[in-house]
Amino acid sequence: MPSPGRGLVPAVLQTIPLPRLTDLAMRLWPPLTRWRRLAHLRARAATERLYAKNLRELCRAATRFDEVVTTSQQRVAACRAVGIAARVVPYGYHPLTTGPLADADVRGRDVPVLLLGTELKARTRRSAVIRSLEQALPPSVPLLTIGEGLYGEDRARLLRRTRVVLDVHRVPGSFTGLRVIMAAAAGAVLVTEPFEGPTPFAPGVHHVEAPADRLAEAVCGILRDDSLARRLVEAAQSLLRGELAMAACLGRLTTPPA
Amino acid sequence: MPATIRPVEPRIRELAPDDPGQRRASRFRLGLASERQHHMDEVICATEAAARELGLEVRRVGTEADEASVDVLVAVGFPHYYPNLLRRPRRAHRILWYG
Repeated sequence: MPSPGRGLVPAVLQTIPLPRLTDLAMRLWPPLTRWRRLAHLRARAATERLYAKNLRELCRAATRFDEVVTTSQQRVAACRAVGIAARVVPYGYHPLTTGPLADADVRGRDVPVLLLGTELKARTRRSAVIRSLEQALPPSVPLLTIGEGLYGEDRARLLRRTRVVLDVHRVPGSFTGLRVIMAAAAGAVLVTEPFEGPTPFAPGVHHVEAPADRLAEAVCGILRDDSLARRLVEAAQSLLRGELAMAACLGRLTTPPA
Repeated sequence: MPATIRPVEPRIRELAPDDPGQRRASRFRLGLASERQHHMDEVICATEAAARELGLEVRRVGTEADEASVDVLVAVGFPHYYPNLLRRPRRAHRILWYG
């Protein structure tokens, strides 16, 4: 965490978080909302704040646990940076919550691109990326966005009608693996912003990664190439059957490293 | 302040290490922390189902008495999902599955 500086500006920033300060400024003077650099600054500050908040919470709580196990290499590195020993075991797949593995053949599916997520309407980096994505995708490829409230069998049914599941990150690079598992189980391809350390998934083998400004291009590439989509889904599903089966993950979780 | 975790030897570790995909039933009782609804409930349900398939004795844990009846307690997600667990004394080997 940055140490508090001296002077009026650092004191104000210490008292009022930067995202809230920019919101206030935009409300007082609406033309500021059109200033893209300010929106970018606000989004970045909000992301860093969320990241720092999560890490602070983990630091406070870690001593209440005997082991901290995280879902990605990125989180392990973040834990180690603050003195918390951690190891990686991703969340696993179980048909009870995600449904049985669907056919990898995506032909005949009527939802070309689906995006699941929360805070889609908020003034966040994610919502800004989604807005530009909607503009970048051709009219023949409508983006279906679903906010909160779709779980279990309803979500699995929609995913089984979907060809590509899009993932735009709340915290860039953040990886829990749940979206890849959900998409793969339903026989859809996950197209995402680059993950940091998505073990055991590999970009180009199990899913597709592209920076925010090239996601639309990546989606169209998958929609044009059914055989590539099939290969990606089959590779991802083979992980779900093997090392990412929940039983296997639970085994690794409860067996400490030698 | 950086936190340092004191390594604690789990009371019972009996999963067969040779085949991670087919680890056999063991002699430990697994608890899954459960205090209020959150978006990791599906992961908890999946973990519970997988534990049963492995032949583990598994139960949801919300209180100190519940925790005392298990050997290993797994809390899925962020710590703030489990305020009671963070306050009460430790009664089992606790694992935070943070994601």
